[in-house]
Amino acid sequence: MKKPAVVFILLMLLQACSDPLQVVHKYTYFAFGTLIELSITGVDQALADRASAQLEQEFNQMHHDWHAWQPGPLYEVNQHLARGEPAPLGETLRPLLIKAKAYAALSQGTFHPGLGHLLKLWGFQSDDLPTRPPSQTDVDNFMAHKPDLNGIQIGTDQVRTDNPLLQFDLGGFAKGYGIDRAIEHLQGLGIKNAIVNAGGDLKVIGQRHDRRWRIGIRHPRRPGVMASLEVHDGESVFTSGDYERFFIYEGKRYHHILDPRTGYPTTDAMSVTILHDEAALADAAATAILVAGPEAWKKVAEALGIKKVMLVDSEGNIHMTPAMKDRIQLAVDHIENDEDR
Amino acid sequence: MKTGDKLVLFLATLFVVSLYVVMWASPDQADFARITVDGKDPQLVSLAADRHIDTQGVSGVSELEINHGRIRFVHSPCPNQICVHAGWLQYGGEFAACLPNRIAIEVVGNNTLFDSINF
Repeated sequence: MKKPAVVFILLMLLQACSDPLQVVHKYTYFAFGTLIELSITGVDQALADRASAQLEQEFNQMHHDWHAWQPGPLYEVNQHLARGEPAPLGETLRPLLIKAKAYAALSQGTFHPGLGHLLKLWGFQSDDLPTRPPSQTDVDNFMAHKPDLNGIQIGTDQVRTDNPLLQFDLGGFAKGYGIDRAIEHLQGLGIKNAIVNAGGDLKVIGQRHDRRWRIGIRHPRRPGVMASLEVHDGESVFTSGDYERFFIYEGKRYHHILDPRTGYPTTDAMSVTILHDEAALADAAATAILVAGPEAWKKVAEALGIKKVMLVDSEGNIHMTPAMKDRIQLAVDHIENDEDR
Repeated sequence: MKTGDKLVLFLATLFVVSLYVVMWASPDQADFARITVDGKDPQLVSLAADRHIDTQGVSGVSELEINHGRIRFVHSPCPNQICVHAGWLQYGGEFAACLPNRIAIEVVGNNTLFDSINF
């Protein structure tokens, strides 16, 4: 055989591993109150590094601006509302609050961005987990005066409410909104292929050079994954579950997603996974549909305009919409609901 | 056989073997974990040898365990123990973190099954 043939084979072998644009640049850092994992491909290292540094800064800014109980713009708004005064509203918060209110209005009472007071009562507005639930009387008292969504009036430069118990807490929404913004930021830099994962919830653009991005969905009770899927350009994958922030009191699990209708953590489902383009809506919907539970999940998904849903009920049965079934590969067909992790 | 032929034969064999490794050999077995403290100086550790690793974070020492190609937080000086609850990580792309101690671990491998994990 002639030399060119040898050279050709050598080149073919080298080609696969040497194209710098095929490298997936990975970054992990703490920002936005969680762990951010960023994957970028199709661009050189210098641009990826720059994008990662800018996103870290932007996530830190959003964390400061949207934090419900640490000093910053949203905290300031809550302070005003608690005193019964209208709160000045800037552009860092206004679009966020308008969207949160709109999704809440569609959610049939299952998503409520104004329950900061109740979350505080439960001890979830803290970096530390509570050790016991609040008294039934305290929860009942709050529920008797629960702030109504329609009582929130968002004007051009201020927000007011008729109920001083209304305190914004955008957990279950701000993360999605922030991820949408992060992806837009990457696109603005000319990046077309990336994953932004913030504490387990993510959005992708483009693909990984030769194939689509592959995502594993963590098992709600055991190590490893329960399902996997290939995510298309511009799609988000969001999961809300009872296994993220929780404490056990007298053998019972209490987690951080409260049912706005009862004031207590939801009990009928272990997790809900949403596949949808807009991350902000996917985030709100994951929370809302977990609250809706196996009885009402289809209705709430429809009201929110969400087509791809997977719900694991408290018995461990996996429910899916037809559109979700087409996209997901299950690694298990049933989830054992025990505390063995 | 000329030298060039031998070289081609050798390369072809190497190619077939590498195809086997890439396409078939235990695709869900990850090789390494990446440990990051406060987002700086990621350290790669092999998951091949079972052992315990003490990692100094910003608020104390977190104890990690490697066992049968998996890694987990055994103990961490944090109130919530979310990192410990995350349990074993074994698939490429899986990660867990102790936020108060600013330690992140992520499984990486040549045959990454997943590009990212949703939870």
